[in-house]
Amino acid sequence: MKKYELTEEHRAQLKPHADWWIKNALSTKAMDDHDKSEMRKAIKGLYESANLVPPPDERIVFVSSPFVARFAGGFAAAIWWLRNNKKENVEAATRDATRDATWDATDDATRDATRDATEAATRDATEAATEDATDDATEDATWDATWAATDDATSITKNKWFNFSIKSMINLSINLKIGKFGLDCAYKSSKMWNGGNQWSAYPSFLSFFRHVAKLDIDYTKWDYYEKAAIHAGHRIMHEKFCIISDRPEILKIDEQNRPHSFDGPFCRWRDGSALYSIHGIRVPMWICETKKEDFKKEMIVNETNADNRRCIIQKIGIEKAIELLGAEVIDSYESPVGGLYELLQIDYDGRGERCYLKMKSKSIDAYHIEGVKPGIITVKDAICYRNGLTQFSEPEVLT
Amino acid sequence: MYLQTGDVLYFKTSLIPNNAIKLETDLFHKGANHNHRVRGKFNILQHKDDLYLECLDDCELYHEEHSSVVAKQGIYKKKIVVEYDHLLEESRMVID
Repeated sequence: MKKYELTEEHRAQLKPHADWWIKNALSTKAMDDHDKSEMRKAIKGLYESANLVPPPDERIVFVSSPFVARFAGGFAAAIWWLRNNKKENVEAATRDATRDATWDATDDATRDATRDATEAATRDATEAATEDATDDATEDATWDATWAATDDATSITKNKWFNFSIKSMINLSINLKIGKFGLDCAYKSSKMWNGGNQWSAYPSFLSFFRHVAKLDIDYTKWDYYEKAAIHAGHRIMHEKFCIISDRPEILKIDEQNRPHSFDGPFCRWRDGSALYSIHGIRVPMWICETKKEDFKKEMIVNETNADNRRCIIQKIGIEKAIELLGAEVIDSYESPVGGLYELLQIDYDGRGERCYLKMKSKSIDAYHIEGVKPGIITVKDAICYRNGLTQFSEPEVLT
Repeated sequence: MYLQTGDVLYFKTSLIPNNAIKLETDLFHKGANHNHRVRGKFNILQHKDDLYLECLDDCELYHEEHSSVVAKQGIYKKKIVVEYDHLLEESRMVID
């Protein structure tokens, strides 16, 4: 039986509905008391809808960023698990601790974890004793993590595409006496993860049928999920606790809604933690944090990742890149398939000329400059080298 | 004859080695930032370090960033473009 068919009236609502959810996904509004109150209700409703006992209010913890949530969630899961289990095998413990949170009963290992969790849930006598200690540990973890992240916000480490002090998290894990186990749990805490408002695509789809199509379905349980996708950012949901991140304060995108910022992070939270991306490509933070005028030719030629190199050229512009590199064009070729190629000679350290092939990707409208083997002096030979050809031929299609 | 999407080359060939192993995936090449996938009726097979794409019909060579390419029915062998690292004085496959 057909339950629904898109009407013209509903079709007209598609764009405004999608726009509302895109705006929700890109929100940079700080969580306020109303958001927190709504989240507490939503989280409790979600646990109850899954026939689980919701964590008490004090264990629904609000934090400043997903970075803090990730580590605090992993550490808290480790602490809970260690207090409820006496396993000496830390590798197994890591596996079980993170799988406890997923409640996934599809394989043997997870069945063990579910059994462990069930056993833990029946230990009322020990639970009360461990509650306070774990609350303190979680609180300490989130506070220290936040402090460390803020303290370290200005550090720039090569090749990190994020700004957050992993070193401080390692120290914290040692101080909490959970060491590598705690870090492993943080590493695997994606199993407890939900993206909140930044995972708006799914609720956007389902809520269309609720609010626009108005299907005759009981949306009581769904309402909790929908509200949790509106009133906060990422979250970690564990049997014993829930950790909820604030929204970011900066979130920049390009014309295709891809994460993008040439200058500074595309996404930054209020504790200083941040992410870097140029047109959807994760790039080391130094590329975005270095001013255009401060780029040196070594920064381009020493970059081993071709996408990163291309992003630098996009940022500073092809003319500036050529000027920086001090390049001389020694051959050029207009390909009917690939457009204009130029073979450049560059002496960037006074030790002789090196050849690089400059080409433009039509489909992404970006220039690439890639090294070619010494001795190559024509573009066609350079393309042969690049594509592994013994005799020059054009690709039938090139994108 | 070959096709190219970004740093991945698809060289037309006539044979797949007998003992090539069929992979249950649509992922033809995993890049550091983007993946190259195939859509349509196809098999992806591996023989030692070589990867083959057997298109049973016209297939879409899909890349998250570059435009898609249609590969006609046939067999294609994968190659990755190389570049020269003048500092290390060695060739390497392009990483992106």
